[in-house]
Amino acid sequence: MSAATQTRRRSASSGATKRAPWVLLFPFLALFLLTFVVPILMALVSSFTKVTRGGLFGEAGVVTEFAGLDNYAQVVGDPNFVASIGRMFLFGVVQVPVMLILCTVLALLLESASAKWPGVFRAAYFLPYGVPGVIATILWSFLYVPGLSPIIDVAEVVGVSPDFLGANTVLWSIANIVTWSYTGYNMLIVIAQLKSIPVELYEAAKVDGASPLRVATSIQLPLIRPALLLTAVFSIIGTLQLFAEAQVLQRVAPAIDSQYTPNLSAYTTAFAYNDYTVAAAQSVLIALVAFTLSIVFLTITNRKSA
Amino acid sequence: MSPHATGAPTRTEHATETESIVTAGQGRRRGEGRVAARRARGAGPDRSAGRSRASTIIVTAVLVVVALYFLVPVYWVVVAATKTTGDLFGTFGFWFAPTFALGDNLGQVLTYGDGIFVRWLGNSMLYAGVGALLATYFAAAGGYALAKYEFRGRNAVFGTILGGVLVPGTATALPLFLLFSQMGLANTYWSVLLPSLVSPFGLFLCRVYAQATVDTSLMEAARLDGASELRIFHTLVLRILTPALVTVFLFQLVGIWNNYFLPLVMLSDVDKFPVTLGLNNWLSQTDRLPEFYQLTTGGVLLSIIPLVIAMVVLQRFWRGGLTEGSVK
Amino acid sequence: MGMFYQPAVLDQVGAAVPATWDEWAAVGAELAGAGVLMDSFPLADASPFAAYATQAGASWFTAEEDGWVIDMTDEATMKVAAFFDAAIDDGIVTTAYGAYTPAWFSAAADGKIASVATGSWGDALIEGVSGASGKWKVAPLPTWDTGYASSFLGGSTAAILANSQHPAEALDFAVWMTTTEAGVNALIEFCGIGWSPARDVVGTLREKPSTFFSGQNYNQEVFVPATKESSQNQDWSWWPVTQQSFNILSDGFRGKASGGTLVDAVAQAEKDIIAVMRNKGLSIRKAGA
Repeated sequence: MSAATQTRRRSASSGATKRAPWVLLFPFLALFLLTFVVPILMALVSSFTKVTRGGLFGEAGVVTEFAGLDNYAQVVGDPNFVASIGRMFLFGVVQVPVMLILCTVLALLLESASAKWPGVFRAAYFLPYGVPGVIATILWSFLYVPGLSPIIDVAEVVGVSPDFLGANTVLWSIANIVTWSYTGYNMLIVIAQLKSIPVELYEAAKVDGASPLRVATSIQLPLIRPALLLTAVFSIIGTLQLFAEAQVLQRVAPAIDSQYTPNLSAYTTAFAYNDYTVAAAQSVLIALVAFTLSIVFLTITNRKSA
Repeated sequence: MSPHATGAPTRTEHATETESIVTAGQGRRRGEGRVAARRARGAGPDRSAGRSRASTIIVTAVLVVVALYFLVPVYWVVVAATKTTGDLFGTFGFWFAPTFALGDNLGQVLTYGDGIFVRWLGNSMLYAGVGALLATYFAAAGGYALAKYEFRGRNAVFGTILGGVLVPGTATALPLFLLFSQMGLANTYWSVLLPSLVSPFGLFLCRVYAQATVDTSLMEAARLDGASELRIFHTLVLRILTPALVTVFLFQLVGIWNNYFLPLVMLSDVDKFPVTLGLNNWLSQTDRLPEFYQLTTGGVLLSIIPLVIAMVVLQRFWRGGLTEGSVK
Repeated sequence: MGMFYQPAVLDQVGAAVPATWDEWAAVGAELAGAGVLMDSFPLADASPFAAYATQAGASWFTAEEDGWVIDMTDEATMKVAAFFDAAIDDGIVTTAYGAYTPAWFSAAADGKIASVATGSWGDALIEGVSGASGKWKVAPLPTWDTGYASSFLGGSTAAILANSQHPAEALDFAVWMTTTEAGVNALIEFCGIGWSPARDVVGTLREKPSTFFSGQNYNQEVFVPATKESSQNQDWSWWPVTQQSFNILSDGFRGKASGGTLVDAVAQAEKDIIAVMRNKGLSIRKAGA
């Protein structure tokens, strides 16, 4: 092959090579722009506008105008919305550690030498992950309602009358549903990481005569820490997205108002109150809080592991 | 909180990313089971430091109690689906009623509303199956492009997608609904499918995996042989990326199946509902028509049986799938 | 509206069917002593409260030339709020659940709830109570010392949308469906609901006595008289942002569980609703302002 042909060939193919990444990225980027970027921009713009109606119910005219920070002021001044964010923080601070402790303990137990039929138990624990949140909530709602719930029936035999749906307890009833759904999944993550711990460490521990507790605290826990940390981060962020559980339980729990979680608040504002611009402001605020939390925790975890 | 197919993945998806990054660094492959390993290889991994008969009993007892917690609601719904509405309220929840109505209930579930339930199941499979398949394909293409090509704007693109990952999907669903309304797409199958085709997490996973497993020299050799870039991708790279593809597919599948907020916002035609929305729709009618209690419990049972089977199969497969990625 | 009740439960304390709300409270107190509830008062749904206030003569919103006029703190409403404050405090009603929820069905089947004040459509739901056939009867809604004989709760609308392609035909159908004997019968048979807005059509099924309700011809005895013009508050007017208003009221009612009162909740709700309507650009003022 002549040098000229080779060069021509290489430039032709290098042209194609230059275009290739964009061609490969195109479907993803196009959809990403359509379903992520454009809506976020729309929400931003919408959150700075205001729709006012004149007359008794708008028959005198509907005006869309620039609203400055009015919507944000309204949202931040809405005690129900602020309470919903606070509620989610409380939820996250309690439910996430409890779930992580539970899944770690279960993982350690299943991976310990003393566990029989680990495969069966793993399957049993992982099973709830396949049940969609809505279905899980429907299931548990039947188990929470007095008169329907066999759990309450059994408890009353020993004289205890649990109220799962009261004002002070319903948040933890929701936490229970979330824990039930995701512990098994997170446990499998931890197990996968446990399984990748080198054998030599265990053999050395055995030679040293270490008890299983010592093995757990000195070898296993430190080595699964990265997985646990990142799981925690995204559990907390997922907490801000809580919606289905609250909405489904609303039917049987009068304590759950229509603004119980931030997402429920945005949904109600948009579809029940027809206040799309205010709902957009709420969505933007929720996104900002989630984004900030992510950055903060990622910075902390990066610094710790660096 | 259901793992959302759009927007920021929940901790479930990111945890896997960590796990795969961590295991990618380990070169060791664990045996399938302690006892089996030892028997098969004679001198397998021995973590028997501290094993005793007493600890076995205690540990097993704890595990059984915990298993009861996870299985109780499933057991309850199996029992509940055999009862009529009257018995549901009248008899003890954990045991059967004198009238065994399972066949009736399931028959009603499948035929009510001209078989709307079966249609809902089909819709879920469409959204989840097609959505996950295409999402995986696009994520693989994008991840590979970001991993193995040097081009201007690469970091900007990556940064934008990273930003998208950290924004919750629920924040974009409402404005997306307005956008689709203006485009005439609201309340169509596309309104749920299109957002489901985007998996930023999937793209990350594929990128990480491609960086680790796809050799640039392999690509160069193929180029010299005259293969086009797309040909390289489809015939060589996809095969190498398969373990990651399977992971992304399974997660996207579960995520879309479980997604509730997106179809809730987008769909108002009952016959386009996925099964999650459909069952909630039935449940919301119980305060006007009590027979929906039977329909709902029966429907819940029917919808979770395939999921339960899938999960039991999935968990055994997935352990292998992800650790396989660590073997280079 | 009317009051569906279980005669056997009332007989437990030898009580007669109450005709006024004060009698209702007295019967309720006796039942409370026997561990039985008279009714439920849902904190999460303010529409029964609005219905009771309507019956007492309240008219929360009036449309005037210059906009809306709101008056939720009038005598009638405050009287109703104070009445139910006392009923809740005395344990006559439960706030843990509302009518037709799973917990309610269970309690009704067990005879733990004596009655439910509800719309005429409640009959279909009570028929879902396990083992209830023959155990329920219907009486007129108890009355306040001033106000009207009955009230209304819930209801449905047949509406024609602006982008309808055949509005005239749609209107014809809506009129047929809601006012002719054939249409109303079809509504009852296929939708289970539908009290016709036509004066003289109640549906063939509703003209007969009901075996379920102990052989009582309750539609003719109780509900037809309740639909007379004189039995209903004709001044009541609905308003925009109703859903949000009721949510605001419910949020205030929820404070009852932690020591608040319905009276305070209503007063605060009035202020919040004014703010909401002003945010939307609508003109509204408090009565007398």
